[in-house]
Amino acid sequence: MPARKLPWAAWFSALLMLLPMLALVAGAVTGTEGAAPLARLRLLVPASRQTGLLANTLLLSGGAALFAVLLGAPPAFLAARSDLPAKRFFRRLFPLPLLIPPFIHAIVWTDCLGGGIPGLASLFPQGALSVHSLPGGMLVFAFAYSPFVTLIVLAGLEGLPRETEESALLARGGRASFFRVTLPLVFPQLACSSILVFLFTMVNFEVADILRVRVYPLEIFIHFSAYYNEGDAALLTLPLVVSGMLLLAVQAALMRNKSYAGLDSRGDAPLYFLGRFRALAVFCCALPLLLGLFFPLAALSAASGGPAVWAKVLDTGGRALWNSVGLALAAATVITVCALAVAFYLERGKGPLKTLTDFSTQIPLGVPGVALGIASILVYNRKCLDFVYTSHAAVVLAFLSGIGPFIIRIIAARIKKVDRELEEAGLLAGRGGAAVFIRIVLPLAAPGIFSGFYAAYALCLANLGIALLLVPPGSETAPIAIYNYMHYGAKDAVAALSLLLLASAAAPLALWPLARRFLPEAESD
Amino acid sequence: MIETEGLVVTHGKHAVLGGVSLRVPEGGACALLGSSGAGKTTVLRAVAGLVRPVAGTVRLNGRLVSGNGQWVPPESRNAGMVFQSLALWPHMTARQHLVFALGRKVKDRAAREERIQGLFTAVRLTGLENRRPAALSGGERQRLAIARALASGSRLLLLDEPFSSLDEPLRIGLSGLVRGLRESGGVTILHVTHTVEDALATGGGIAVMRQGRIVAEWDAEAARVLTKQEILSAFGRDAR
Repeated sequence: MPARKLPWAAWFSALLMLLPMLALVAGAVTGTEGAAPLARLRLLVPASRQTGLLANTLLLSGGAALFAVLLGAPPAFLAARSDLPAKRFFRRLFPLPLLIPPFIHAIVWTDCLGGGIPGLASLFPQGALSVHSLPGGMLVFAFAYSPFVTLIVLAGLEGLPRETEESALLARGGRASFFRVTLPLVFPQLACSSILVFLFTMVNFEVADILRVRVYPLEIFIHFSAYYNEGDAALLTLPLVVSGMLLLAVQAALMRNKSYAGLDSRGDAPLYFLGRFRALAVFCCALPLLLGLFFPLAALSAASGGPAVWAKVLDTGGRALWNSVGLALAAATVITVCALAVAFYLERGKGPLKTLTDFSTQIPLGVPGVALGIASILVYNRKCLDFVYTSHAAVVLAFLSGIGPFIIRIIAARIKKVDRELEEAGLLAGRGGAAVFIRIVLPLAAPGIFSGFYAAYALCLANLGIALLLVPPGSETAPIAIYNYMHYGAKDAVAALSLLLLASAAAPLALWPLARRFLPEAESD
Repeated sequence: MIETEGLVVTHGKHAVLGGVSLRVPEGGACALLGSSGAGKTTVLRAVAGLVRPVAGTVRLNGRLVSGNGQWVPPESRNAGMVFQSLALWPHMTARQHLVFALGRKVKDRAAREERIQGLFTAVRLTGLENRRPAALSGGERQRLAIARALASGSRLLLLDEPFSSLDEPLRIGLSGLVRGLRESGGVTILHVTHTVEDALATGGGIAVMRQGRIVAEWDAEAARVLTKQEILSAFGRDAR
């Protein structure tokens, strides 16, 4: 990519991502019914109801982050540093629970504890295990998001020079080495992953809705859907946006010059030997997989009923599934192209605008999906942009805002690993920036670009918050169909369509061994 | 010919190069010697156009490429460089490295093939054209990096400590190869190194750098009769 055009491509992509944010701020300031901006600020003066909702949200997010760390961090340490049996098997399975969207976890646990699995609720004292509670919500989010902790901490551990730990091990033994060297060195990744879980929980609307837990994003949705007041809904989003920005600033400070990537290593020699704790270690690694992957799959399979149900679901929900797959593929393509432009600029660009682009493109991570949907309506619901608003283009652009920031980080982490000297050697060979970008950067960053595309596809496929508000009538997606089935009480249809959705999300993984043949080998020189 | 005049490069407020003036005659060689952090690699990168000096000029074969309001990007300087890490492209075969570096500079297919084969012969890599860097030995990778640097037809070769990680026999062999390129091919060489043996083996002038400045300099004629001790004394405190 010619150096002069690079920032423009990145800035244009970043602007597309940030348009809904700008509309959100403008909508919050001006409102939609002509009320004076200062008078409208009374909405932000904490009413007892809103204070309670905000407190619930923060408690739920904090608890989810804590449980996710407890569940997700030990497997990372065990897989990276111990003689854990079947280490490679576990490493391959660790990311898979992320394929199951949190709202499906919520449906599964609500169903199972509500009598779907006879006797499960009766194992606990009356009321001790209600999924319709803050602790219940915390656990559901932890089951869904603990793989983020595992993967980020694992990447951090693999990026550490082993000699630092080995020298501590020789000097002070295993326990001191772990607590005094390993843990402090990997603390940024540990803190950063818990912040990520906190953020994702804080902005989630659909899980709280399914679990009937009262949280702040519900208030935003009510102002939009019940009071038809987009301006007030936008204004109410601001406290979450500000909280999100503060957390992102902490995260950025923690992760300065560190990478989220590092999964190339395939199990170095162990540093710690488990001895008689091997069984316990295997249990620690299997637990998040059991709760976040195998149990939901088994529960959905059991609830999905016989061939008649499947035939009915394929007949009524099949079209929704195709809509989802088509929309996800289109959105993933747009997101990957835009994210690549921004990621390359963030890794190779210079100047204060780069820092601004870096921080501003993370802001949407702190905005609830429903708020992004409302913001996109504020942007595109106008006469001159009617062709966008009435088509799937508005959904694709809203997905770009909501999911793009995450994909930027995946691709940027890979570009960071492409040695700059490889590009410099290309330039000195007399080839221009475009040739170097296409022939050197793109092939070497391809694994990250493919991962980014796949993550964008899976996230768009399972998105409910944005789709619920923006998908044009008559072309509902699978998550919306599942949500509707759930409200009609069609549990078997919910389970069957959820399984089909998960199969569609997992299908591209079957192509991975084929894709690997065409990807560059890891640098070994 | 490589000429730098009063080259100043800064890193924030810290001056990495404090006015470096250097001249390597056409078809000649110069070894830039110094301890770690002396600024040797920065001189090389400034000549290549990979860092932008805040003051001073760089001329390559008489053409002003940096300074006095002029800036020629690296891809237009026609200078080949061998990096310390070699910077070989892991996804390309040896042949693809040369094809990429050659670009469209030679349009005729037969002439292009002849050039590629000529380079493989010159660096003694014939028969290994279809191997990727991971399948080459250390010495073969070094030779591929040299071939790539020369593939674009450049007569200026910048070497950034390319032999630092090699064992003695390989080092001697590659030094001989580089020397041969200069003597028979008329290639001008600027060789950054931190070992006196490599500097002497380059067979040209020698300049010693300390703290971003050149503190001692000998032309090829004078360098021929220099002893290791005389060069080391120019290192001053760094050598101790």
